[in-house]
Amino acid sequence: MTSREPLLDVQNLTIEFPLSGRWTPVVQDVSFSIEAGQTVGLVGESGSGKTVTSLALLGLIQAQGARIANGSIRFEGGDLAKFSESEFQRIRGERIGMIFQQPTRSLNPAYTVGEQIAETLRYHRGLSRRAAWNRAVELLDRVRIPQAARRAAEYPHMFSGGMCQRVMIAMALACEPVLLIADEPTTALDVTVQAKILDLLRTIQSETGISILFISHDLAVIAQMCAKVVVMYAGQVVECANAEQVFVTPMHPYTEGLLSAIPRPGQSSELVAIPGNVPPPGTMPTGCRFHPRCDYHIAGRCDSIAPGPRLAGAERSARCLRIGEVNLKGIVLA
Amino acid sequence: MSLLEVSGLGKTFVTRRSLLGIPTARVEAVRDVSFTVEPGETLALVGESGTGKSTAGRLVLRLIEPDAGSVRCEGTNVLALSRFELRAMRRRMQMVFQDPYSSLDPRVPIGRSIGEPMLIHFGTPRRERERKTTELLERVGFGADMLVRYPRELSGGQLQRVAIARALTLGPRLIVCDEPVAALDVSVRAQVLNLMAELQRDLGIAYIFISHDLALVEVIAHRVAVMRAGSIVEMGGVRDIFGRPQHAYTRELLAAIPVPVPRTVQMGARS
Repeated sequence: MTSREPLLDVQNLTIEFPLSGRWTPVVQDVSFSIEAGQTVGLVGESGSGKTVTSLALLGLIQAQGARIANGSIRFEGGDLAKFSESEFQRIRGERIGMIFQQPTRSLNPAYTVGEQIAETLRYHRGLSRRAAWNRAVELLDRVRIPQAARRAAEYPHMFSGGMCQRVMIAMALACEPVLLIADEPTTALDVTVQAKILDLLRTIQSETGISILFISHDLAVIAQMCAKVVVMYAGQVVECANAEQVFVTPMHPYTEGLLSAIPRPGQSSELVAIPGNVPPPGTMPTGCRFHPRCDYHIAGRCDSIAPGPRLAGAERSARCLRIGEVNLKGIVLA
Repeated sequence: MSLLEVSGLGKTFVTRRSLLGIPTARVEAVRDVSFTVEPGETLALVGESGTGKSTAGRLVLRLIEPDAGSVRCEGTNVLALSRFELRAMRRRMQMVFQDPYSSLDPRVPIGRSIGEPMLIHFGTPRRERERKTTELLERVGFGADMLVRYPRELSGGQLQRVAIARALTLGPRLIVCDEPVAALDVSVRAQVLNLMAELQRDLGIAYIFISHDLALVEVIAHRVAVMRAGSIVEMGGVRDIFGRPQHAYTRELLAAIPVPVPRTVQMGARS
């Protein structure tokens, strides 16, 4: 493997769910890659397909009745899109770790947090009970839980939301995976706790060199975490570029809309809205999926031609017919 | 005279009882909270989860009965009202909740959900109700076709606009909004907030806006009360709170707001 090859390479991924008796694409033609040690942000609103995409990386969509209809997910020489359940069991937790939005609901209330972390180590690493426990305490210490040895013996209900998320991070890191998927990891947390968790993730990344796929609807959080940003809308990637490009010189009108919807101090009371709503799966508009909500759409063109991802520079693409024809606004730097 | 005067408001919940029903553990959810709201003004109650901001909002409307303090709306002592009188007072003070999916009855068409308060409070005849409901729907940006639709057919943003239309039905002077856009997508949040601002401008409605989202509060509130552990630790005009925060906790909250600018850009701008 050459050093230029990305750690994870998703190409043309299409995921379908059965919807009133028909296979309906919920994620369509999604491509993006993650380099070793990189944090990639996956941004989108509810129904954009960002969570489904991330679950597909762990083989967790098949159990929900979905199927991968097309595309590949290259990871460490294999194709996750073709993996069987038993193959996934060797990857989950071992090579790819995951943390979720609701840390308090992701832990088993009947076991101590130490036991839950140790279980991962005993399963994947075959460690003895004692060795696994000691390692669990080390991990809790690593995620800055004070008095880790004592707290390892406590149950999840004795931890706050932020502390539970730290436990989840410790568990996800137990087998030293090369990729961490973080699905809205701070959305349920208070803003001061969020700041601390984001800090922790950055520290862990610089210590271990782990890659992170960071999923969020919150562009401010994405800006704080990610070097590269993938913007999803209605099951497709509409823009993919490095963070600076996405925030300062966006190429897709939807990205511009998301950026302008961020409340900014000193702006007049009127906030900027994107008109209309995200279309539900199975009722996608013809042509560009964003055209009914787009200020720049041209009748007869945007509503009839479905744009593919168009490359604009080496590491940059956008799914818009009007690239280069319209001048889009990024964030205004103070 | 202020529209709303709240003083010394307090509420303690019993969290555990002995076998004999004797309280053994209590939480003081709201302690000695005082504020006023002027007509046409937005007062934001901000703070992290568990600070008592939602409880404070509900105490004002007596959705939860306060243990201590007083609430006066347009000079009337709200806490002294009988159940019957309180119902009349509810015409003046309404509420919009966080989750629009669970605040509308799924089996009732939108038109009836909005019109029902008129029937209950004024016995308004059907035709008149339908006319007014259509007007209200228009006010929040919907056509008459919405009358016969059901909540499941609408998106979160649309439902929240319906919830606002319903809150407007009785012509309130004050609406307590508990995280009204927290459950909505970023792109539709502004639709709801701009509607609220427009209604305030046109009708002079005052809002108590309960939120944990400080970036949002800075843009839409006139005054801000910062709550911590059941008490207001700092209150003032929005410019003062965000520009010259006095309390350490306020400063900590403000410092934690993520900035929507990539770090590489921030660093470039600084050097």
